[in-house]
Amino acid sequence: MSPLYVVLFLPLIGAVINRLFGARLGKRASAGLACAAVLTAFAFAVSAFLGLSALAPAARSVVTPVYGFLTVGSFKIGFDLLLDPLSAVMICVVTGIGSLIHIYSVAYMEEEDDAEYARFFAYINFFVFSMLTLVLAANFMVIFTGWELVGVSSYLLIGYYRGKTSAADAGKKAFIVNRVGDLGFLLGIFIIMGVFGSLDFGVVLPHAALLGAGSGLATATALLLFMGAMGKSAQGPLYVWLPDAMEGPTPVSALIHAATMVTAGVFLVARCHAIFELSPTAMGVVAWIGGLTALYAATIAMVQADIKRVLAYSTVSQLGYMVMGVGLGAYTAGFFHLLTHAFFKALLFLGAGSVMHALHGELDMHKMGGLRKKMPITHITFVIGACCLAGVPLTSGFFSKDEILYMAIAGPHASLCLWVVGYLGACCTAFYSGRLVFQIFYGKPRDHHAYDHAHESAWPMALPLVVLAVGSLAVGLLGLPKFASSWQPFSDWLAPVFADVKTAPEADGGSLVYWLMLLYTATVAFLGWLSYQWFAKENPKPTALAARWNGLYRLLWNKYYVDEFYQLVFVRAFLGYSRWLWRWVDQGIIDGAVNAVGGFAQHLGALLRERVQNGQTRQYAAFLMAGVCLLLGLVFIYGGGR
Amino acid sequence: MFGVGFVLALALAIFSIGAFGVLTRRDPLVMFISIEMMFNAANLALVDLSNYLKLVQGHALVFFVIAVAAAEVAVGLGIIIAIFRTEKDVNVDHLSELKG
Amino acid sequence: MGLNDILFAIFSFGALSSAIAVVLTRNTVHAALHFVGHLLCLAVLYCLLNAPLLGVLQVMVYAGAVMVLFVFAVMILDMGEQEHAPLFNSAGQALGAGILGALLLGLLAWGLGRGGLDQALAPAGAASLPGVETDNIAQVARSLFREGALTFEAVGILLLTAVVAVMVMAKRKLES
Repeated sequence: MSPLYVVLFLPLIGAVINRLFGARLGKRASAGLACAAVLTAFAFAVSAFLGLSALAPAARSVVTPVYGFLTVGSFKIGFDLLLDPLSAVMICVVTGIGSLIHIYSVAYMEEEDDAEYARFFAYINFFVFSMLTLVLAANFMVIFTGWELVGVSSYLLIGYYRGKTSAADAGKKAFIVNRVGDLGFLLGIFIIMGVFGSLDFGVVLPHAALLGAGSGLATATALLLFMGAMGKSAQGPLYVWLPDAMEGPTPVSALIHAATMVTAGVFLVARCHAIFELSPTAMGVVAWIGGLTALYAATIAMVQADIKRVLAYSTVSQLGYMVMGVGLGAYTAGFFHLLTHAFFKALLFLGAGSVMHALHGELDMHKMGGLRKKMPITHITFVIGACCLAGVPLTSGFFSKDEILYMAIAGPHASLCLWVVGYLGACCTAFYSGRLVFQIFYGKPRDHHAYDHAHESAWPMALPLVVLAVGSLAVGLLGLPKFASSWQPFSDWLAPVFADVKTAPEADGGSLVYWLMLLYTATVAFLGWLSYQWFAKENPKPTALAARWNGLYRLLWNKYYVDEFYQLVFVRAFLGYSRWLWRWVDQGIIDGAVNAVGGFAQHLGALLRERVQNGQTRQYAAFLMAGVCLLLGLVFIYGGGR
Repeated sequence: MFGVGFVLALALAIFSIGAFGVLTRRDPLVMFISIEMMFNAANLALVDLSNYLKLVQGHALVFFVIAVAAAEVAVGLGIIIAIFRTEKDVNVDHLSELKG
Repeated sequence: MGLNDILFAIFSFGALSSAIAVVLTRNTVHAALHFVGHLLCLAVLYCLLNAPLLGVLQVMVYAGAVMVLFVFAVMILDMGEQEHAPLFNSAGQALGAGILGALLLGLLAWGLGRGGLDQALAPAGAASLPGVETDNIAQVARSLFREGALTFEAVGILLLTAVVAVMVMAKRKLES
């Protein structure tokens, strides 16, 4: 039996058992069950990974049919699993980081009662199952199934605190915004079905050229698929659900909104790169949406006060880099950033959760400060995460982001404007990363009451932080720049998947690489110093700047008023339209017609009762007689055979 | 000289007169008599056609009709007398309890 | 023109005129008496139409039993007061009823006169079969008690039911 069965279905079994019997199992048992399910799945995922690496590079694409999903005549869609280098990396990330987050949740969710505790673990296990379905899919049908399952489970997790209206609303928002993207994805799948007559990756992707290189059809297909990716990866106009999704428990934020779910869009583009490669237009759109989202979200993150909100916008921004990377044709770089980001952003979220836990749910950074002495482990690991996020040299984030920006200049679809956008975004990232660290852990405590009660977290929370911190640093070694090392495990590993893609010209990079690295290093150093000056000490500068540029500050503070804009244009307009349909079309025309028929019969009946059924026997007899005459007349006129 | 058609025409005439009586008279007894007259018209037609077709079944049918009419008269008159006892009035125009 | 035809003409005329008299008489007792005349005329016509048994039954059941019931009813209801009331409610109603009756008559007559009847009946034979008069009673009896035995019993039950029903109705009124 393939290890994939275990990897995929163990979390599902855990979820089902926890949901059905979790309330009676008690906290220890339900947490143990959930963690065991994911850890075992992780072990089997690693074994699947190793089993795949034992094969020859060209043979590293194994399809495992589970059962026939749909069979119509000669047309078949199977529930097939595809294990190739891309999905092998993804299942290891999902189950690996998922395991750490499960362990972390054991302590983090301690305060919930038994039933709620089990519900949480059931959902989170189910989420892992959904995500694994998505990444292991061998055809568009299965990937869409996983896609929707992920949507459902993220809805359940974001709305986990079901007593809170804001959490319920955030869950709905995530679900509905994702539906917009899903519609595009589904339409894209329809086009593929129509053109290829099959949904299997193994059939569609090698023959993607049937769509016609550069044709409108290819562009439309690619952009429709990308619309789905935008929804899940919170890109472009569809990013709005992700910041609100922070209403869920912090481990959920780490699992869904950092490590796994939001990478689904990047994964989709990478998986279908053969289609995207056909259309330079689509590639350009993807890259630009990614780049602009990266800059845009980073500017918002600079001024937000809520620690999870900063991380949320930071996630949107980093996803923008990944999307920009794949849009630039630098799939390996984009995917590498996905990997490193999964580590360091999960680390940052879990660190933020640890801080929140210590401060009894406090989220406002303005009330924190000086926590480094109270929470040494959280402090050190958080700093490591922030360094990776900012792109401090020699951390994983540095290598991955640098690679993407380098590809913006030297890659196959290079664009200097895009590089500038990306570079500005990186500046903002460095700034808010510094601000996060210095405002939380340095300076003087701003809220002494909370500070005095702060404490380091228990080991189930600390352990994942340490593991993720080490991972964040170590994972960078897998993708060192090409000039620095001839050992390129990550890109070599993914090479079979992206074998058909034009690679970056190695030669003309030359000295440019060094200059760019120097520029980033200098930028990060300067902005780090600046944020230290501003936020670690009692410095009136930020307040003064915010006052001076009040308009700009308010614009960023209110997130460019995008939510208000959507509320006005989409929600209000749609509500108005619905109300119009209800009042006029439904009540007026449809109900009106029905009521008119009924009313007509009623009035006619009343009239007949008054005039005809009046109890006068002879009148009845007269009607009877008239009826007889009528029938006789009809029979004689029309009924005569002769 | 009086063939089958003549007797049928006679039956029709009696039937129509009976119908006219039912429709116009407000005395329930006369209405009832008119109904009996319509019965008799039907009987006459049956007898005439039996005679013409040499079928004795028509006679049996008339026998039954007479028996049913006798039963109907008994019950109908009983009802009329019952109504008269409660209403003290037998003008059918004044009786409209069965209206909706 | 034989004796039968003369008798036929006389009694046809009698039946028709007495029927009209029933409908147009103001007095209920007179109407009932006209109806007796009508029934007797019909009984003679039945005999002339080779149905002597029915003629006798007509006299016994209708002109006898049924008419006695009617006269009793007239007596109980005491209809004399209506004598001075107009015969019809209104001219319109009489006209409407007349039109309906005439329409019915016309339609039926037209239906018969379309020529369908003679052709439909023609194959059955044109003349009276011999022997019909001789044992009409036996024939009717055979028909009644062989083919119509079940119906005969059903009619018996119907009559019994009617008797019981009338008795129940009359009894309840006496109690109240």
